[in-house]
Amino acid sequence: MQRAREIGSRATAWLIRLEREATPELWEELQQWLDSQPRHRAEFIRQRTAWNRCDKLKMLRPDDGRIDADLLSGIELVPPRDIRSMESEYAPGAWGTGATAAAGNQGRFSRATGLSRRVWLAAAAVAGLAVLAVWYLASQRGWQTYVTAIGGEQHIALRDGSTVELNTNSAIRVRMSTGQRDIVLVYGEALFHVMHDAKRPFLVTASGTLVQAVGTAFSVRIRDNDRVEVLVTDGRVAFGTPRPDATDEPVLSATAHAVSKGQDAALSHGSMSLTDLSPQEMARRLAWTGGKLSFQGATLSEAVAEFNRYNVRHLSIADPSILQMSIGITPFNSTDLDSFLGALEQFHIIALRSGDGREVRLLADPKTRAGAPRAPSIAQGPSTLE
Amino acid sequence: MAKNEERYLLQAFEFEGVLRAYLYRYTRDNSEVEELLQETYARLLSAGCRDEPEVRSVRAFALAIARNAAFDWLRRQDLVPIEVIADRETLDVVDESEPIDEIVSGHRELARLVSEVQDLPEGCRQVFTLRKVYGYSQKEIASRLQIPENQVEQHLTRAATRCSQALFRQASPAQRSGFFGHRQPRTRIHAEGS
Repeated sequence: MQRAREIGSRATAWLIRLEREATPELWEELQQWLDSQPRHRAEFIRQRTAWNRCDKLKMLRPDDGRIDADLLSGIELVPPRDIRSMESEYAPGAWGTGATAAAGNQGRFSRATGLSRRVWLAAAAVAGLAVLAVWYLASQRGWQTYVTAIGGEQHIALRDGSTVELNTNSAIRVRMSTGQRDIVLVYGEALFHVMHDAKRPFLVTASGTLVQAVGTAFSVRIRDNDRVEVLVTDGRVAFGTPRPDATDEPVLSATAHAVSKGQDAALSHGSMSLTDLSPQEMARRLAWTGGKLSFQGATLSEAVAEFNRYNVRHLSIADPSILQMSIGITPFNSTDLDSFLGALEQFHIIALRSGDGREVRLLADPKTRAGAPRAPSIAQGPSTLE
Repeated sequence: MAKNEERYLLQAFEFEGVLRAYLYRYTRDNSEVEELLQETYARLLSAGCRDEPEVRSVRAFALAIARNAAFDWLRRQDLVPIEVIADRETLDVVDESEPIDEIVSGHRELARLVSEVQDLPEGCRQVFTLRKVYGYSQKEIASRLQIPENQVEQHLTRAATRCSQALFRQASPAQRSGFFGHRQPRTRIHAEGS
């Protein structure tokens, strides 16, 4: 029998190797390894789950866009007992990691309220890093954090009467003060319905971008490469970069743009684009709030990437010739693999599943590929959107 | 809707510490715990693939599977403690553990991760930080730090192993007390004439 530790090392090696480059040959080789022993597959899933969960470290990323490879060494953990004495008004317990577990704390926290006030990170002694730690401490005070897992969705009612729909694999921090309402979208996507309050602007910071509203509804999404998208469903918002001199509370710089109902604005590395969306397109883009996904004129690779956002089991496209194929699919449940694959069959895309169905690769159906190559524009959805 | 075949397995990671402690009671040997844990996970994965009624308590189910794996192991060791141990185990007890607030456990997990990363050697820690905090690709990290891509890959592989330990290895306090707070001495009886 192969020793557990060795299987563990091989599983992580595979995980990281494939992250670097995933050629069909490597993929094939991995499948053989996974299939050769059930333990291989189980361990691979375990390592993959842990590795993906490490993405929550993105929460610690400073908002100012600074890149620091030593970021994590500048943050120090306060030993659990110190937290308890500092914040004794909160329920005891649950902070112990292994070392203090023996204390026998069975305390149970009330819901998120006040949790982020627990200052569980303290300033690093190292001079150069103290700034970061101070930033972190300051930013933690009064903040509440909400996080969703992959495939998850959360409805959050804020104290001011506003609501937030948090999409899959997303995180926000919220702080309500007398002067303004601050939200940080750490990663992912959220839809805000803002309760009107002219005296307290509602500010959403996302990856170096700032959206300001008074009473309106809009969604914000952080895409890869720090591209931020804002979709306004009601009223209007101001959208731009925060003033660099603002200290604790963000202030919109003078160069902000107005984005109105029905518009989609994107800011990426300083350049902004504005698009008017049809009501259908708007509904399609917000279909996630009902747990649905739909596509119209998206490329297959976009559609697969979108589907993968909601699912632990990832699809891959094994055939480069279909990457850019244009597809349209009516709304389906975002975690329903079979519906998605069924819809793709209409485009002559077939799914190859491994023996146990856990790995899925998409290919052009060889039967249709034998004939003349189809132009992407011919491909049509099973039906149009409502 | 199609069921996720990994669902039992994915849930079991959340109480891996409990499974480990449980397996340790039978084996008293950490490297055997590793083996049996992996075996338990493999069995949970195949259970998730079978077309059977949904398991109500994944925790009790996983512990029963772990126990079976441990018994198989004990048989191979020529030991016959089965009845003795089986009678003492009340799996239901474990299932009464308090549900932990998702956000609390999320924070604790983050804390564990950070402290684990701090223990990594400098180069490894930097590569990991650029990958997981800032989201750079392996290629970008290599050019940013001016090191070969192979080295980036090695650092990340090492870090990944450590992170899975930090995340899954230990049970939460609530899970530990109650069930393992009063550990019974293990009864191990050698078979007659073996």
